[in-house]
Amino acid sequence: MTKLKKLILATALGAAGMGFGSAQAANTSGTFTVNITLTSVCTLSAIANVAFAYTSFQVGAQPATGGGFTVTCTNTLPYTFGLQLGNGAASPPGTATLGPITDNSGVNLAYSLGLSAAGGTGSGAAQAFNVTGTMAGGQGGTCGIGSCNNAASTNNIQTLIVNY
Amino acid sequence: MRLSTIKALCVLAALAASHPCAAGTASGSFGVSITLSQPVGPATSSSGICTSESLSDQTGAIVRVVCQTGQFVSIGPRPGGRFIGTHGGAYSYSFGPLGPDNRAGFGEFTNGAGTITSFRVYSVDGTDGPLDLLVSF
Repeated sequence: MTKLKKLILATALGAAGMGFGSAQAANTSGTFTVNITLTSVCTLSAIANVAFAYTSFQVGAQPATGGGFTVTCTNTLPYTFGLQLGNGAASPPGTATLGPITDNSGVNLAYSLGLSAAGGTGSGAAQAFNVTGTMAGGQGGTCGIGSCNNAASTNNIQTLIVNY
Repeated sequence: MRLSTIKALCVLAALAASHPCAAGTASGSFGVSITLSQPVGPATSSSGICTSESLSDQTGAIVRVVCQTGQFVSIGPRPGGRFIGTHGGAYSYSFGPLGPDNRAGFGEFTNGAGTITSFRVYSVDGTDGPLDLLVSF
């Protein structure tokens, strides 16, 4: 190779390395669409037990404690609550109240259940509610000792349904 | 399909099926616990004997005595009370057309809840029917 050819090759390589051009002949481009399908859902937390502490023949009705739960729904998704007797498969939409239910454990007391709200609208964050309960006053119940509970009951499990 | 059309269909579906046009459900079960306690107050004493004198001197009054099982229920005069000197035992009376039927004993009324331990009739003036006494506990 002559000195002149070497000089020409070196100049061409240097120019390419400095960005003065490339070996690409042309560019082409295209656009695409991003499709999003959002499925709205609600999730239900564990539900705290509803508890009654009752004294035989007490004059006033006894409200329940516990029953707290949270619902987390897609933002702006409306939902409603329903209650269902027993712990079988949910049969939506359920009812706003349950009862009176007479516990079958032997304590022989009746109670009714309700909800702190009929429903709500999702916010994307957990929202707190309660299963409420009341036991009418004036019930004697059955208890051969100082204090009894319904641990032996077979109808003390109920179901909450969130409809969305 | 337009959103308004979808909403309209949902409304129609809800009306037809009598339930909301729901996209889904979530459910969970919960327990109901009950604790039943015996009342604590003047009607129950630590000696195992419970008494109630509330309304006992009123005509037609209903006096409720609540006791734990095994406790003694006394219906009768107490020393110094208004029935002193009138008692003679535990009796029940039936005032039918054949005249008074004086029965002494225990547990005469067996068709109700609980057990009658003792009872006493203070005055039967003007009474022409059976005297019913109910003790429930």
